[in-house]
Amino acid sequence: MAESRAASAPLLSTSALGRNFGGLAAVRDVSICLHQGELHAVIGPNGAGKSTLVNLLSGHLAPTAGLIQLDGRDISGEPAWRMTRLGIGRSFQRTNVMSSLSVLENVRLAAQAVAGLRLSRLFTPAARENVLVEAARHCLERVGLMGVEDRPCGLLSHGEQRQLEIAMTLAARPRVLLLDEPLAGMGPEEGERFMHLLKDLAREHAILLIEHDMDFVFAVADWMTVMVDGTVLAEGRPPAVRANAEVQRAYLGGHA
Amino acid sequence: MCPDRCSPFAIRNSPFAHTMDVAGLLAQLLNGLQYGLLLFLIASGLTLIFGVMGIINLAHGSLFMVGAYAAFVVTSATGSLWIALPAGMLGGIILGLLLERFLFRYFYRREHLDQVLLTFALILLFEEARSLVVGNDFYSVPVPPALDFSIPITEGFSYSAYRFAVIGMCLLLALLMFLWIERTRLGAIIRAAAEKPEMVDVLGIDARRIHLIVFAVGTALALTAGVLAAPLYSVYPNMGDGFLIISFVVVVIGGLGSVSGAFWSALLIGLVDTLGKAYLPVVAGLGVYVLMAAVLLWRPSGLFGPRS
Amino acid sequence: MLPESKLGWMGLALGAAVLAAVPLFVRPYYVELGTYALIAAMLALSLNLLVGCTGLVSLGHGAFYGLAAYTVYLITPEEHGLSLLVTLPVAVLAAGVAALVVGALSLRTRGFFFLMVTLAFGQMLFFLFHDTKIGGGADGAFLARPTLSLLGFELELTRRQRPVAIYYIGLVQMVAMYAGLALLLRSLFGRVLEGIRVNENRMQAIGYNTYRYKLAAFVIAGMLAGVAGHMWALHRGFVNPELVGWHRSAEALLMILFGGLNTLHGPILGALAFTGLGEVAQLLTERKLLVEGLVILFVVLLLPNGLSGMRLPGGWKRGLAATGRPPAERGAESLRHG
Repeated sequence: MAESRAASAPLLSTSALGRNFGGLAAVRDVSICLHQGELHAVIGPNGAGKSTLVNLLSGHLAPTAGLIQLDGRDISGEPAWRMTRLGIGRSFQRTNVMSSLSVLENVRLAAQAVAGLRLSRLFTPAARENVLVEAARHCLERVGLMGVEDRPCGLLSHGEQRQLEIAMTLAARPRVLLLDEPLAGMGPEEGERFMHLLKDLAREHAILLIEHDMDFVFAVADWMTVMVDGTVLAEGRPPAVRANAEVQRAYLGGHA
Repeated sequence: MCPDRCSPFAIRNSPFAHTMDVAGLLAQLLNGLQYGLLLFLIASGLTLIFGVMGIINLAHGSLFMVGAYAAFVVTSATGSLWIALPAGMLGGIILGLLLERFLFRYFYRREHLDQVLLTFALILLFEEARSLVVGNDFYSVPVPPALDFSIPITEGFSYSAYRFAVIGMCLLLALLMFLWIERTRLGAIIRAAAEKPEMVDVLGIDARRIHLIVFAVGTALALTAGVLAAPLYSVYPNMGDGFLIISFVVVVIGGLGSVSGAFWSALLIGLVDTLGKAYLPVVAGLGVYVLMAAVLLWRPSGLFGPRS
Repeated sequence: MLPESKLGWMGLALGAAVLAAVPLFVRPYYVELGTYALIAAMLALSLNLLVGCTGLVSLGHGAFYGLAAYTVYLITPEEHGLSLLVTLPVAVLAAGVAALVVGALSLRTRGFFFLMVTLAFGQMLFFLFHDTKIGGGADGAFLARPTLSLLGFELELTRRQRPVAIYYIGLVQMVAMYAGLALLLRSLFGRVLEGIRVNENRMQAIGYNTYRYKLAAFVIAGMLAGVAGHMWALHRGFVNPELVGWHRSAEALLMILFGGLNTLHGPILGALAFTGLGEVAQLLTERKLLVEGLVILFVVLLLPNGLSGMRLPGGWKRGLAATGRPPAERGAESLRHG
């Protein structure tokens, strides 16, 4: 697959991407490529700039240097809502949902954002928008969150809220998925199920995964980038990264 | 509401209104400076209280009004503004402590709407109290005799000594505030609290004490501004409204929570308003709002606020 | 936002029936007071689209209300009133255009900044009418009231009939506004506003340009305030700068909180109660503002969910789901009360 990676054009790529806060460079000179059908994991110690990278890609932060390209088109600095419309979906590290709305409504809102709003339907009850409701149900089914559609999502268990996060991200029909520590707070059983979902999703999407659970990352990743101090230390296939002496020293330590 | 008297007073009282000569311009600049500095006293309390406690006090203008009426009452009784000034400051501190301790303290974590209505209710109650105690008439407060003269600046142009005294007093208070916030331990804590409220808890400081102090200082500043303003603009019902709203414009342009931002922006507003009314009376009081609109288009978080 | 049960719908229908029956039983003075209450209710309803539905606390809403009334004054020739069918759309349009401009600027900010900016722009309009000769300056001006004419037929009314006719015109407009808002809030658009109120950042992350939605809500709310302002001109035939002033906006906010901001009927209830209260206070004490101030304090301190939030025990759970405040926040609040 190393050959196929080089051959196909990347879906999302960055070149020399950087972001300063005051005088501090949280991310500098990061150039990575995400390919369709590939699960790309970014690992690194705390404060390595992983979350800043996700925020740059999702439009929550504007880069101070470098480019972000989607299908070869420059999209650096677009606001978050436009990034989502362009096909870049993200989930949040901390659960971030409309907590007083029902589960179904959260997902339906996500599906509705990309579908747009026609003025002729300004007075049609939302519950009768069957296409969107079906799309939302489908996403919930996909992440395995069924039977709780009508519950206010503030009342879901932590693990269920994580699933809801993913369902909302999927509802926007993204091509690129940015998953910021999706496993945080999930039990081992949920984690197992999530791994299957992730592998399944990786077939149709380009996925960027940030995760601290190294066993999990090495089990699912097709490609890995190791970040330290805001910049890329090494990248490659998991076995190569595991064997890399620099990575061993800087981050993995005795783990691998 | 009497917006006529709320801001263009400075010009009306000046013998140099509507003249285009250099002396006139100088007078307008001084008027603008003096007006801006008074605005700073009001706006800095507003912005400080917001920065540390996260609450917008709509009744802040009423505190200014209370100060002006206190000046009137004390001056009528004792014949001297020199007693009214410390009385206003002290009264402001006490009033601030009482308001914080028995009312505002319970509203810091309530929703914006609740805070707005609480402080709006206070405006009504302050106005009614004013009406009960002093009545609804307009009163003028005499300039202290010791300052009731003009200082010659150039040949043929002299400027009111009392206005100079107001400028000096405001600058002194601004300097004290600056030293307090930038150079003292308490000031450092307040700056930390304005930036990250949870910091205060982490540092093991009694946040309640900080809140009491900040609120009392803000209140005292507003009352002081009222006392100083009384001889300049006479006292009248609802006089706080106009000052409150202009102070909001100051805070919006200066950046919410920033005292130094409030200083520069207050001077800017004072000058724009005064010069605008003197030389472009057609657009009258609209100048500052146009300025605010422009700032919002250009930098929504204020000229001196953090870049976002 | 809407009644959740048949009982609730029946309550609404009953309320509408009572309002419709009022002019049959009371003295003309109270009919006029009722018309004023309906106008206040429309203003509160329109503001609630921002405050209760979208989470935008505006203190400049009275500006659009007053501007609509002034628009009627400005387009009406001195000798004869224009048809209602002309004045209403023009006044609403003027309010909408003003709301578009003010909203476009002020929605660039959030939270208290938004509140202060809307207040300042509202006051700018106040000064415009107060300090210039437009509309008679500080004293205000009388205008020939819009006429009730349709396709050349003019409804001729006696002095006694006219207040009653105007009351019903107000009632019809208010019911229409209520129904329109009810439909709007159930639609996709309304759900987006609700999402913005609860978690605006997340709404942006799932692909909403929330600025545009908020601006749309701001313009709609401004136009509805224009309906109320037009009704004022029709009712009183008089304009003055007080109409534009921010005390009007603050009062409307109070009515919303008084009635309960998480329901659609709350603002109406609040406006009726507040108008009645002001009347009683004026009669009994001559110190209306004092009573108003104390009542606001009482409501803010003791009734955080307003009149319609006073529920029987057991209803709290459903109320919680409807108000959208997470339990933790609520707990903190009740602790602070205690």
